[in-house]
Amino acid sequence: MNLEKVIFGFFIVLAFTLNFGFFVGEIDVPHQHDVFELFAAIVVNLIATVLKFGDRTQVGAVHLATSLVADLQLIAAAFVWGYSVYVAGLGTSPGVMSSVVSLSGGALAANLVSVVLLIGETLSLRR
Amino acid sequence: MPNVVFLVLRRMRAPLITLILIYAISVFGLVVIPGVDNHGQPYRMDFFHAFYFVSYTATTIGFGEVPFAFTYTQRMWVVVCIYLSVIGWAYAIGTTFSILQDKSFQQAVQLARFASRVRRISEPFFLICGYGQTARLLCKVLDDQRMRFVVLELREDRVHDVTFADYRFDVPAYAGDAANPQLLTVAGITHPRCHGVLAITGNEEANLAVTISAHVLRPELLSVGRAKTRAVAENMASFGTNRVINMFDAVGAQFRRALHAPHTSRLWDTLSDFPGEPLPPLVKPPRGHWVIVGFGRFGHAVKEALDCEGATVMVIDLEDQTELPPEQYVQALGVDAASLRAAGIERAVGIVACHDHDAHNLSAIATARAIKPELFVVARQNLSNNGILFESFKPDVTVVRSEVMSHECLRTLTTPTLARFLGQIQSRSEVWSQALMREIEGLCEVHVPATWVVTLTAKNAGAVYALLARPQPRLELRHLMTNPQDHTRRLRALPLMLNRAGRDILLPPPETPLAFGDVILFAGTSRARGAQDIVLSQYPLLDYVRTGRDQPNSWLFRRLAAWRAARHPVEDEG
Repeated sequence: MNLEKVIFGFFIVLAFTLNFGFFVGEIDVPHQHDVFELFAAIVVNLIATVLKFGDRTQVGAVHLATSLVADLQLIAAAFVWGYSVYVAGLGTSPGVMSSVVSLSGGALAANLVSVVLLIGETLSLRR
Repeated sequence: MPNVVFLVLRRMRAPLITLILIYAISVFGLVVIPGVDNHGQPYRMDFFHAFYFVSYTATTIGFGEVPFAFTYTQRMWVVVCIYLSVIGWAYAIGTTFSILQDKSFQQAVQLARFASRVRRISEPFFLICGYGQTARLLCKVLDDQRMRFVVLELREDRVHDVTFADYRFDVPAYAGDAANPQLLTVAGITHPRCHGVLAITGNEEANLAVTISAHVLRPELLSVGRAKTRAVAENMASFGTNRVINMFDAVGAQFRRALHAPHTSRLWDTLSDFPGEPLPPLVKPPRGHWVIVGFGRFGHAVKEALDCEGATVMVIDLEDQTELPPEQYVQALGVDAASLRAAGIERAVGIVACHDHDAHNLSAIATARAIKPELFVVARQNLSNNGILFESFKPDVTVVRSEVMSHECLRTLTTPTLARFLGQIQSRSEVWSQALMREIEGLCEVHVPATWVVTLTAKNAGAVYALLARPQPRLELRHLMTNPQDHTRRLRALPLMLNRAGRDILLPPPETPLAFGDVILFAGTSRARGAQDIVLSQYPLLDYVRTGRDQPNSWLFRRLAAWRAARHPVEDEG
């Protein structure tokens, strides 16, 4: 067992699960989507991105790309949330929640690709 | 070739993750710890404000406590945050600097930049491997001729010299082993614009490796190799190297030419010298008894030449020369009067001082001159720095290795037409050479003329116009030597050779009519060359040099001229 592989897999799966946890629930109901979970998802996603730096294989490149997409979408979700609450003064209205959750849904798709890549890579190694 | 960005990113992984974690912990702590707002009500900081606060605190900007003054618990946590973030940043910045200062990283960056600069070259260039004294002289001349080049040199300090050499073009240079084929590829040996490769490093094996790589990667490429020994020279030639330069053979051949036919030799030297230099003087080595001091490869080459011309030779050398009969050599250093006398300096006509050490050479010359002042002196100068010493000694001939080498290289790089011409002149008489030399002297006022080739083929738009599109009046050789500003004056250019259908005509007369496909070798001033270029590229000028009349260019004036010609036919004819 390789510790590096464990850490790598751990962060990718954790990014996916946190993202999923935030995403599930009614799309426009604020109390079903926890702000801490979004925060954790962003942090774990960023760490996963950095872990993927420097791998110059084709699979590594796609890994990095999916992570960057997920980061972008999650940070956009956080930005929409913050902007609506503090700048526009809309609060966590159903409309705002819908866009935040749907953005995180996009990130979830990217994370899903990441996890699929990870599994595919592992299976193709056959060790 | 490593991608620099990925190299940095890979090594920045640990510090970046540390930073992300520190930020996450700080923000999380601020959000979780309860605070109190202005009215004493319990309050929890939101993520936005927490991130805002950590961002300016971590970067030591410090805007104060927002949105409300902090409680004691919050302040305690902030203290932790401040130290954590400072450590995080110090770690990240420290790692960045250590990467930037890393030798191998800098090399990777330099290689990447070198490769991209070579890739972007859009003009013909030469790849020069080795940047010693020879290469310096050669680069200077190539630069004067607006030729571009790329330098590959093993020693880093010499690469810095390229940067500060003040060339017209930005010269890509890299410190690396030229024997590495991969590096040669990066340096542009497979670049479509690469016209030739010169292997002139001080290392024999490296030169051989370069010529082999050139042969394998681009067989049609012009390659020049420098060889010190015959074995390596033969090896290079077997790999299709176009020109193998053995400095000592070159010196020997030059010396023999001078002995055999001084005027032809001077003509040869003039035409293969760098344009703009003062004309080489006439060297007339006398025949008779010669003394050679120092019997290395140089001495061997000179002795061979002297033997061929029937001179008697005595050799002075420290080493025991088993190949020579004992009456032909004296075992000594050759700097003292006794050994020079033993070698028969009193009855000698000339001395060749060719030690590896300049000091020995100078002292041998001084001693020999004290005994016999009218000696003909040939001196070998090893280091270019010692040029001043040799100048004040005024030997009749000074041989500098780097100069010989760079002349030989240049002769190869310039056109094969010139090389053919130089071959042809050897079969001509001394009187012929002397006459041509006098003409060249008049041409460029004691400076070495430029030589260039005009090819009247489909690639030359002027040739297509003047020979095919409008063949009347007939284009003659003298038209190419006519001043485009005043047709009664001649350009300072001299046609040396005309090649037509594989036949070389030496010194073609000016009235020679030109035919499509002709190749003409000219010598003259660079201004004449420029003027000729302009004539050959502008159709009205081609008409002007042929007819002596300014033709109207625009549609209106052409009509006007036609109309006037119709009205006053006689006047216009006059």
